Amino acid sequence: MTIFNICVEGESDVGAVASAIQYAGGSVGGIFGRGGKSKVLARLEAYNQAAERMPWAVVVDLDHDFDDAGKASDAWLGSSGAAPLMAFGIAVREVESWLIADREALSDYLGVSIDRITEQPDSLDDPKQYLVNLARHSRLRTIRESLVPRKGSGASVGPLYASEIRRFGEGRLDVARACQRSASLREFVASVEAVVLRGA
Amino acid sequence: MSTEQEAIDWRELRFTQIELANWRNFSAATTPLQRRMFFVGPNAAGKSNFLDAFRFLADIVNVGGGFESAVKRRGGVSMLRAFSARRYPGISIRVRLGTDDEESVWEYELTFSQDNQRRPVIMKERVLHYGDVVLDRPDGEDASDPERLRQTHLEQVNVNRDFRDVAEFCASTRYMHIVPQLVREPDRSVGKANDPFGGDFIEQIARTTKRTRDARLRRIVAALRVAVPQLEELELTTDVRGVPHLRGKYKHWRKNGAWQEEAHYSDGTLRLMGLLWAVAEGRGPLLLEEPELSLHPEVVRYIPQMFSQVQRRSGRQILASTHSVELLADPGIALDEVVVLTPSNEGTSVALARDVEDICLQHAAGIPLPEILTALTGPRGVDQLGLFGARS
Repeated sequence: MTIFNICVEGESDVGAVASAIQYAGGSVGGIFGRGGKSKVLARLEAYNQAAERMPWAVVVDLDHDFDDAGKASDAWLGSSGAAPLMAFGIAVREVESWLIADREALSDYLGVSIDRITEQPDSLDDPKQYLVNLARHSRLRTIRESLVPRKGSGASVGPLYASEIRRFGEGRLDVARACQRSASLREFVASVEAVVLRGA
Repeated sequence: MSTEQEAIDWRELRFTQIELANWRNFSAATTPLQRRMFFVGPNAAGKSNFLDAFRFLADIVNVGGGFESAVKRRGGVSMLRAFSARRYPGISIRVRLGTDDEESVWEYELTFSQDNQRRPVIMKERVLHYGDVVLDRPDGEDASDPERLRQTHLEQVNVNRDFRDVAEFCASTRYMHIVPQLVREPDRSVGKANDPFGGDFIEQIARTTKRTRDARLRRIVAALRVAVPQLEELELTTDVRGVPHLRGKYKHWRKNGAWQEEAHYSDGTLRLMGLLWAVAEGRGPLLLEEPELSLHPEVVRYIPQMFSQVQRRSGRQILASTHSVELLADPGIALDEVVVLTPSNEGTSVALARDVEDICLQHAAGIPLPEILTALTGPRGVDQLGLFGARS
């Protein structure tokens, strides 16, 4: 089993990234980052260097920094590109798109009609906000209270967003199904598979 | 007053606002309070003193307490009065109790000073219920017998009938700040009941009914296992002298594992046990000082989520001071759940992060909250500390 150290922007990303790695035949060792995008990018060079010798998976949100993931990857990883044991993922535009891509599981978990959920998650402008807005329409009070911020609170997500979304990603996300709708997730899974093959 | 208004039970209330005047570090401080609050600020800004205002109200109404004793325990009026206090001699605490829907069900205000024998004396005590005055002292009887102003009506069962809910609510406030050394060597705090520093922590567990205790200990073991994976079981035992002990069974290379008593637990294990016990018991407001102490950052990261889970079940209000970057990194912490304390020559000022323009601007730009708060509350010139010990 290829064990990956992973680095993500936030706690809520851990579940989806771990599931994608497991789906691709790897498993998760240490969890790094979770202090925002700037911190992940600041250390990316060091992680990439470490990935010369051991498996690493780093996932960064594209946000609106670049038009497409290719340009972002060139800019962030530099001319030498990803190290042999680096699975570098760029979520378009946020890791939340990967969760939204599994419409069936998400509609069941959030308690919202499946028709409300887009079929093109990678085209969303602000996937996190989209997810929170879906939760706002939930039939389930616990979902609304956990994921939606109180009015006027100044927070963009609800009090239990991090652990609930992580748990959804870990326990309910069907990566195969999500891959059918999210190209950026497919690319990440492929890069993890490539490292697993190299590491074997 | 409608029937609907009367129906609110004190157990559903929380502090919705506090206003302090001349209280310790604070010459004037007002802040709204949500169900979960984090108080941040540099060392010695007054975070504990702020929480102490809530404890003071609890001490007034607690068994064996009372206004005079609460002041005395804190070293008298002159120790409580803000150094920066000038014109106004009175120390004042004013709280609002309410719910999410009704911000002000009750309002309680206590202003006090001292007489020329340095004894605490009440200058004003007022209770409002939905804005209607229920109590307003000093009244005529106080004028005819000034000795009455040495006791609050809040603490007296025979006169607080009309606002008993306020007294019950204040009495339900709990403060917890486990000092592992005191749990291990309880002799240091002999005779104390409900010692917030954990001197009688094991006895507190022992005093709980067996059924509740066992259920709670099981839940605690399940939660603790995340941080202390070797722990399998917790049980209360009594030694030959009748002193209760908390035994934990640890996984071991031997088949049956090994039992250890509290004297052998690590600081982190004891503090986490104390924290979990505190959040699991009762429904009244819980005051916590730096719950992150002695805990691994990976454990600390989940404290805010744990608070929210507890609140989802019991609705309990939790007010905690913190210095922890990991704790504040939780994206679900709202800007109106963070109170920033800033010391100055005129006393410490208090502001809700939501009301500080700079914080909101940076937060909206995507800068993580802990980074903003660390930069804001970190002491200036702290690099000098690195030179301590160098030849001058």
